[in-house]
Amino acid sequence: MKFSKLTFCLLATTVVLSFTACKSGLSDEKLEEKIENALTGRKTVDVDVEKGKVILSGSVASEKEKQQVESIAKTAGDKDIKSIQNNIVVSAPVSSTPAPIETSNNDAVLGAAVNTFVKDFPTVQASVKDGVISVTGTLEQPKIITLKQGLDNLNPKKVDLSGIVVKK
Amino acid sequence: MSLQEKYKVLLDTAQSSGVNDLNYAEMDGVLQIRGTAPNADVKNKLWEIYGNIDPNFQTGDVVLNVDVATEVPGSQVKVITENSNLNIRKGPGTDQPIVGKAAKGEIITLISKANDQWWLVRTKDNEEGYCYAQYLESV
Repeated sequence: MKFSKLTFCLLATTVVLSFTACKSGLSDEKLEEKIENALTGRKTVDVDVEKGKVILSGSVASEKEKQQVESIAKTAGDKDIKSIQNNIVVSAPVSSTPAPIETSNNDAVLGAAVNTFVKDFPTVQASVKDGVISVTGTLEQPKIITLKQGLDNLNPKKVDLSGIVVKK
Repeated sequence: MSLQEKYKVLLDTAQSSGVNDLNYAEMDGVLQIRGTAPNADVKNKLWEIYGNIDPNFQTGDVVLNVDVATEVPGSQVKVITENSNLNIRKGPGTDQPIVGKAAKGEIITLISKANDQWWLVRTKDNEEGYCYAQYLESV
């Protein structure tokens, strides 16, 4: 009787051990890296992982953003997360007036983004000067809107499409 | 006629259809418009109105940068390339190596937005990487 109890105990321990080993798919470091990667650009947020438990800290401007950061972490870590502790502090925004609209003032950065985007439109050429994007060439009418939407997303001072010959 | 008058219908529609954080100003002869549309339909409607006022956007007196509120981390997005596959890259930039592809029409998960142009996504096959946001639309 004693013997079988011991065997049972050993068996149970083995099962539990192998279970834990299977469950932790990612190491804490890898998981932390993955979540930090997903939170690129959010410099005020810190990520810590301890045995699969994710701890978020730092500060953000709104409750909405706090929840957003948590949901990004959740999506990025997916099944590897055991639990999330959201310690992020919401600090009140400095002013309630809308921030002034920003337009691009760096032609090198804007130019690179424009070049990347217009690669998909081989029949047009684009140039950037003083924050203004000028496009020439020919383009089918339905594609004009895709082109304009993509260029407007780069926040230029102006998008000049007057040099484009529109094909029906 | 001021630009705000010329594009009054566009601005009014943006307001009445629930565009969040709507912000617009005339800067250097161009009407700059920013905001967050509640869904892709509203964004498409705004672009339709803009196209009606300025056919083929030839005048260039508006920069309309409105994103879509439902395109948030964790949501599903659809690949809307013309006909090719969408490249998924290791980092945010076309100089980054391709780590996967998503087919036209495929539904993938938006993990986060590195910036306006590059979004981190995950495919059904668990491929993860960055792709160009212009070719993704909320479902």
